Amino acid sequence: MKPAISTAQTVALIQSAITPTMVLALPSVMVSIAHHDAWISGIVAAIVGLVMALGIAMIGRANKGQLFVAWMESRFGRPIGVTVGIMLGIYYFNAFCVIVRTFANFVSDIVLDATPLFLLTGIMVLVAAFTVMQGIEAIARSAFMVLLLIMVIIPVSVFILYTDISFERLIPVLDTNLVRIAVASFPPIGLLSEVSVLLLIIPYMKKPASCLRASLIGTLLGSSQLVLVILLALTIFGQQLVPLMSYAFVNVMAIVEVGEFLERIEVFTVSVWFLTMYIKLAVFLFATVHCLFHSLRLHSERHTVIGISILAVATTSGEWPRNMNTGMMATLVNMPVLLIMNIAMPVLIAIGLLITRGKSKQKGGMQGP
Amino acid sequence: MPNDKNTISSGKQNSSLSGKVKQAEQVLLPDLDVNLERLHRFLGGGEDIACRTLQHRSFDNTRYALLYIDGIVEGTSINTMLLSLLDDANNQYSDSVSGETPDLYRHLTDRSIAIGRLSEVSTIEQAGYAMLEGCTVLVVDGCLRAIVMDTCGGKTRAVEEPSSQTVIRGPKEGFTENLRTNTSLIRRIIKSPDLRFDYKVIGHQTRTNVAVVYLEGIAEQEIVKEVHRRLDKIDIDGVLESGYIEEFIQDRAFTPFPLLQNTERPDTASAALLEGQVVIIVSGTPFALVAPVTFVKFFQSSEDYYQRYDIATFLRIIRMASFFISMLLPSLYIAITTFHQEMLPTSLLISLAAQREGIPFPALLEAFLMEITFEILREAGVRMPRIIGPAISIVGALVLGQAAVQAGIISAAMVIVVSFTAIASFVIPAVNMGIAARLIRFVLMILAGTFGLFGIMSGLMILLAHLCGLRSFGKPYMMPFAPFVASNLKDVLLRVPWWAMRKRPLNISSDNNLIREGTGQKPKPDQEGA
Repeated sequence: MKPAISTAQTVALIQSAITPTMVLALPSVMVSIAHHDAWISGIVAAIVGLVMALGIAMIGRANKGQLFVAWMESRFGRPIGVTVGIMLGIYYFNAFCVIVRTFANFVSDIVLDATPLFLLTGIMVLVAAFTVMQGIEAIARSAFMVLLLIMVIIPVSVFILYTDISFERLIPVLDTNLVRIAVASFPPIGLLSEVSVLLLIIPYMKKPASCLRASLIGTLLGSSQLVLVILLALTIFGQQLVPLMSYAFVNVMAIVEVGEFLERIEVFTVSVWFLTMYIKLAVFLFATVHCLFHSLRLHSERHTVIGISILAVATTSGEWPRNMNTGMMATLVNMPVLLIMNIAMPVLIAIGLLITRGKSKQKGGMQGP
Repeated sequence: MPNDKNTISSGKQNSSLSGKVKQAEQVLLPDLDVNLERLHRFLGGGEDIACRTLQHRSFDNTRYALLYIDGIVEGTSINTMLLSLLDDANNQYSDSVSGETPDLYRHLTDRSIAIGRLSEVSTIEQAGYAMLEGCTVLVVDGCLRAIVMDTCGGKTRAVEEPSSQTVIRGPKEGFTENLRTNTSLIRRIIKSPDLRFDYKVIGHQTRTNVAVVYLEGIAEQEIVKEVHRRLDKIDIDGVLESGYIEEFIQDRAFTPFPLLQNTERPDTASAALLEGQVVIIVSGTPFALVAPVTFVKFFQSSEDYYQRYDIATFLRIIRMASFFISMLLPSLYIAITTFHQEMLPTSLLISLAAQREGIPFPALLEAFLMEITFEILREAGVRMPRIIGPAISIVGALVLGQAAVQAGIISAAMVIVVSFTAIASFVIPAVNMGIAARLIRFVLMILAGTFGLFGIMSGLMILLAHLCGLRSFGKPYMMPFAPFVASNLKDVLLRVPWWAMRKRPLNISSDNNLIREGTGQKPKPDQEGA
């Protein structure tokens, strides 16, 4: 049976591929650069993100139903197609490992400081691998269910935090240097570029023509959550305190106290965030397996998932002996890689598609997933 | 009366009986004694095989014999028929032609046999299997065919109130072990010419009758075909309950979640048929299977549609919450008391700490001890003679609850958690879904004891992905949430009033026949009287 993902599920997938890591550490970084105008940086990043989403969707629309690697091969020839597939596979594998390690570090910092790291990374990769084995449809449906949960939790969270919010902490607006606002928008732009995963998902969509809508709404949802977390952090704690926090959105929920029975509910908030993070892990592991499986002409997808997962556990546990190494990888190394693989690569693909447009019209034909 | 398909077995099903079948497939011979001997041999002899031989005066004293298996035929029918045959045998008919046995055969079928449904067989095998179904076979000397009379009966359980799916308001009839009774119960509810019953025989030895029931035009034809295809693939020696069939035809083998619904209520089965689902009734069990089914269906009770919609909605939310409590409460308790004490208000934390002081076990082991104890008690409650039941309850509640707390083995809070969990698990209307929650509870407890809330969320993510990947006869199990089908949400957690549910569930019933009621039926104040 051909997998079929609805537009709403694609929105959820895009949102899940972007948001979890973005709301984790970026608010503090952005506030430290753009101070109380960091939310404007968030909006700037959202606008750039929407432009990127538009571009990715435009490229994706040129695909008439072929799987990504097959599409690349049919347009640019097998060597280039395979090279693009392997490069993306390696990129997604690295990104997956970095996300797993960041996630494990976070869990270790917040709750399980005595648990061995390899156990944490092991269980994370196990859950992601199990999810991927259920197929892209199951990932998309899970993403949609989690999105529904988030849609319920966000208004409730804002409601219970309302009394602690002080909008005066946001004024004067645009008091920060515009250059600083622009610089603060770079980190989220890098993560918003992960919308490029849409290129792999489009062949599985029920209505590939609606990929533009899915791409834009998914990016908008992701960036809105970032702006919301920045606004909550700024209006509750102010610009001096937020940069001191490692995970601002956790601290925001930590101050909740309803009556005398419900307090310190940040663990619950974090628990829901775990779900979004797992969806992100599943999307990236799926992308890794998808690219490598089709590029290397492997025979068993299940065994590919198992092999890559074992490699990922070894990499995440052994590659970065100290958490600081992971932080450096996530910021200094990962950001340029993000921009090269998610922006430069699609631009090159777009140029290639324009050049080979005539050839494609002559050849015709398509191959479904 | 068995369907013709019942009397003609397929080659696949008889593979293990090849020797016997080869012999039995022989056609009936003109010699009555030979035929009777072969039939006896086919059925393996036995005292319960009854044979009554008669002679007809009008047909040159031609012999004919009635054969049936005592105990599975309706005694009254047999006696009435025998009286009529004896009376007929002693009469002298002027239109008879002496010595021409085929005329006796025609005479018996047209004038003499006082049974409603007759059919004809021509082999020993067909005659033998008809007798095994409860039919009576009449073999005439010199004739190459035999008459099969529907005398199926014998002692069966009467229609009673279902024991596992009771309701306060609603029909009190339940399915029985008799297939014909069960089909008639549905016929009495749905008096539609579109109601279809397709019969099958499954099991080489048990030759269990199975009926596939659906409403033509409302059920999706693809699903009906798929049900037939999966049933036809079953190759087993015996089917004693619908559970046998369920394990063969479900979409995925390894899952704790039920992928087919079972019901012993004719009204529930009929409601499923009206929504385009297919019902599989198996002879010998009151539990019918319903397919395809979605996750939320297991939290709906037939009573939801008989009570007002507001209370039905409230109860559905309670049931869903109970499912999560049943699955998660012990693991949440373990996670919070072991890893996340900061979440508790100080006074509660102090109270819990005081209770746990002196308890020699960690929370995980404490919970496991209590849960396993409760499972043993529950199983004992089911297996014990009913008269000992209250004693078991007293032992469970007092000795293993109160005494364990007083002895300092278990904390009082843990007893409360386990008790509440147990009560919550009984709220779920579908027993098989409750069992799934019970099994998952233990896995989540281990994850909670090892990784805290992170472990629970990891377990829940695996569950979510697993549930989202499940299908029931090709239909997504998590529908209408994933994939999202807005129009089906009217009858999921909410149960909107009947006048607002114009359409049958989308993606379950046939797309060509979705409308089930007229428009503008919302009650309004009388305009003329106003």
